[in-house]
Amino acid sequence: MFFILKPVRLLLKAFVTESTPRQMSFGLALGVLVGLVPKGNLLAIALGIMLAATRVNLAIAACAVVICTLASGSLDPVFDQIGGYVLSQPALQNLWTAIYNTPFMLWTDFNNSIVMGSFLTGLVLIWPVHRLSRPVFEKYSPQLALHARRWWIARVLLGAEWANRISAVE
Amino acid sequence: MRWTYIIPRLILVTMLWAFVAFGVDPLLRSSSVLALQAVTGAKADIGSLRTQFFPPSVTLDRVALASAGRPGKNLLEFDRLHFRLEADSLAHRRFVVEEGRIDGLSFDTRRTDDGQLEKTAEPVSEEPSWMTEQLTELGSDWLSNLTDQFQSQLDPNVLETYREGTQIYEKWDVHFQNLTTRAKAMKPRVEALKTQFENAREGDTLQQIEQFMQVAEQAEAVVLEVQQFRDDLKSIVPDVRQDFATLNEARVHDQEKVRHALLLLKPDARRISQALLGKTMYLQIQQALTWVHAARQYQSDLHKQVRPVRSSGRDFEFAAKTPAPDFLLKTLALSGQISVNEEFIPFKAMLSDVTEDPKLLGRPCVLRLKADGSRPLQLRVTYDATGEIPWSELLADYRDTNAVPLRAGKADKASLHATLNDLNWTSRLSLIEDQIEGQIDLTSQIGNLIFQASDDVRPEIIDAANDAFSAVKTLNASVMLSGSLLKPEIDLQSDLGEQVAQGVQLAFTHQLDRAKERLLSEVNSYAGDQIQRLKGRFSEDYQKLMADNSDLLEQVNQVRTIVASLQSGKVDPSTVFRNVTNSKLIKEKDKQKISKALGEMDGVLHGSKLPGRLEDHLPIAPGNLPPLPSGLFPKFPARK
Repeated sequence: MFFILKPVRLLLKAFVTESTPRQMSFGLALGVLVGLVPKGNLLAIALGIMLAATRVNLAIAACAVVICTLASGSLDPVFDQIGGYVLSQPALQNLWTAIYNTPFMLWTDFNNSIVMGSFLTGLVLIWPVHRLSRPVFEKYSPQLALHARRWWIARVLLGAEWANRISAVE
Repeated sequence: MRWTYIIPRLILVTMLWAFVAFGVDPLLRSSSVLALQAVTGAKADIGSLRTQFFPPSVTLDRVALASAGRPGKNLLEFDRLHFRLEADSLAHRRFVVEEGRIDGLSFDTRRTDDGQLEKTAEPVSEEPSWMTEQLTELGSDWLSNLTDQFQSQLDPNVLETYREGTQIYEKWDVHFQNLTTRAKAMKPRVEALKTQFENAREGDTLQQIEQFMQVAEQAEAVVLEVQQFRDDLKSIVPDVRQDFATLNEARVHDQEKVRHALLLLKPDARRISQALLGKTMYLQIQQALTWVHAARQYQSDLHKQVRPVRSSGRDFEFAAKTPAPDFLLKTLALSGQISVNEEFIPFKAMLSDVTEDPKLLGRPCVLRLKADGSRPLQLRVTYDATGEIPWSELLADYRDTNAVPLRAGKADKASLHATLNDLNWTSRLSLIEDQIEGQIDLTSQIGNLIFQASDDVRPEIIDAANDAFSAVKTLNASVMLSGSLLKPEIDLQSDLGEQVAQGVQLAFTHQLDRAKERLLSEVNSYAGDQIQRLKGRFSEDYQKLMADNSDLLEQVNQVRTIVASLQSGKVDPSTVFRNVTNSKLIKEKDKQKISKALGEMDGVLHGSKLPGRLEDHLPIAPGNLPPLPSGLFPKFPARK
């Protein structure tokens, strides 16, 4: 039983250890960015790797990715407008051309209006989301941790030490 | 560094690697199967798919694409497909297959399942509409029609001799039946006259005279009637002669008709060519057009598929440093088996410069195929869309050393059979947009060209045709194509049809006399039979009627003679008795009795002994009686 639970326990620990409100809010902001960008291109993969590489709360980020992916479909017209505007700017043509001729950049689908629009929107939303969500995480994360500690599944999987640690999150 | 940071990243990297290592290939295989099924409309089987990143390459094993229109059959299948992509182009999101290879490619193979998706596809017609039309026009009936026409010309039912003969026979049959009835009706009257004559001898002299007078009157009437009957009988002779002449005239007409029918017997060379070669040629055309059409269709589908399906958004294109097509198959080597005339023969092919943007590439797509074996084939298909108007060209040289059987016509009526040896096909087709133009030539050696027909076809026709066909040794045929790809106009020309037509005429010229003699002899024989039959009937009935009439006339005349002698008043009993006795009015037995009585009476009257024992009963004194004075009784001549 121990051998089965240990890897799962380690995984869960990894997901919840970066659990300061700041890490949580950044996880949410980056998750929104990754979630908004259409998948199936190199940009989404790169953003995903970047998200994984940063010390943010991956659990929050993963939840944000899932939710934003589901919601992004309805925002496509907006992204199309934004991306189309940016891509068609004469002043930026040289930039885009240079990127276009750069190896692997076409796999990012940057020249697609929705990809560009959603990416820019996600980038723009990083700071506001972080700033707005941080107080919320500061207020609600202790209560959330307290509840989590009581969950039998958390105790079983994480062990008492880590469950207590979760509950002790400031 | 904290493990809490490293562990999740390591886990993510591991997951990513695991996905790339173990998930990409199955995912690509699954998506490839779905894509192929969407294209073919039937099941697509891919045994395995392996990708390699350095250098980028894809390998597919055991691929089979089912046919949507033919359950249980594959459109194609191959053992392995391997292609290597150009890394630099791939970095710019271009799929350039530097080198591809398909091994074990075969077409139209069998499957273990029906290969159909849940949605049943519409069955695909094996023959396009234009071909159905052409095959309908082939005129496989020409041979049957020819023999039918010839047979109908010589059918006894259409011969004038037959028609006239039958009519005349029926006419005279009725006429003789009427005459016989008339003759039979006269007989009872003559019998009645005889009876009356017998009865008239009874009674006293006056009564006898009166009765004889009546008999005489009736006899006169009967004689007139019998003579009239005889006149009527004699009068039919000219009519019969006239009918014989008519029949003879009909025979002459029939003879002319036979000669004319033989002269007109010339088959249509075009129809013969079509019937013999049409299907073979049209199938070849269809195959050629299918190749061209498939190449074009593939090009079109390729163009659509290379463009990824985007749910939304717009793609902005920017100037590329080195413009190149998004997809380019530089070379693809193919090897496997190809079905030619339902025989699988090994082939090798090279497909080059397949792209969705030929204008940008500037080179046409070319397929070169070479098949060996007993049916060597060299094929070159070019699709050039580098200009404003795309055009295709197909050049094919095909040789078939196996004998190819040919059949035309209907086996149950009349048919032509032949074997084509050493076939050489040369095709040149060009297609500009939908307009097709080209020519397919066929040269071959013909063996065993045989005409067969059912038993109701005259043997001399079969012999004549086979004589003609034995001289046909080579075949040259060509098909000129024009019109549109989906409905081409086809003009089939072949010296075979002309050879057969000329041969038939030549053979008929040789056989004409024989055939004519036989046919004329048959007509003559038939007419002769009719005339003989009529003559026999006429002669038999006529003679019988004439004989009956003669008997009647003789009897009536005798009655008339006796009655006439009575009427004259010179009643000589011995003359009367003699006339009556010599006539046929009384029976032979009675005649003998009368003769005996007359003899005895003569003896008595001339002093001879009395008959029987009459002397013993007479009161005569002894001694001889004085003789009677002469002349008291007439002396009867001695009876013989």
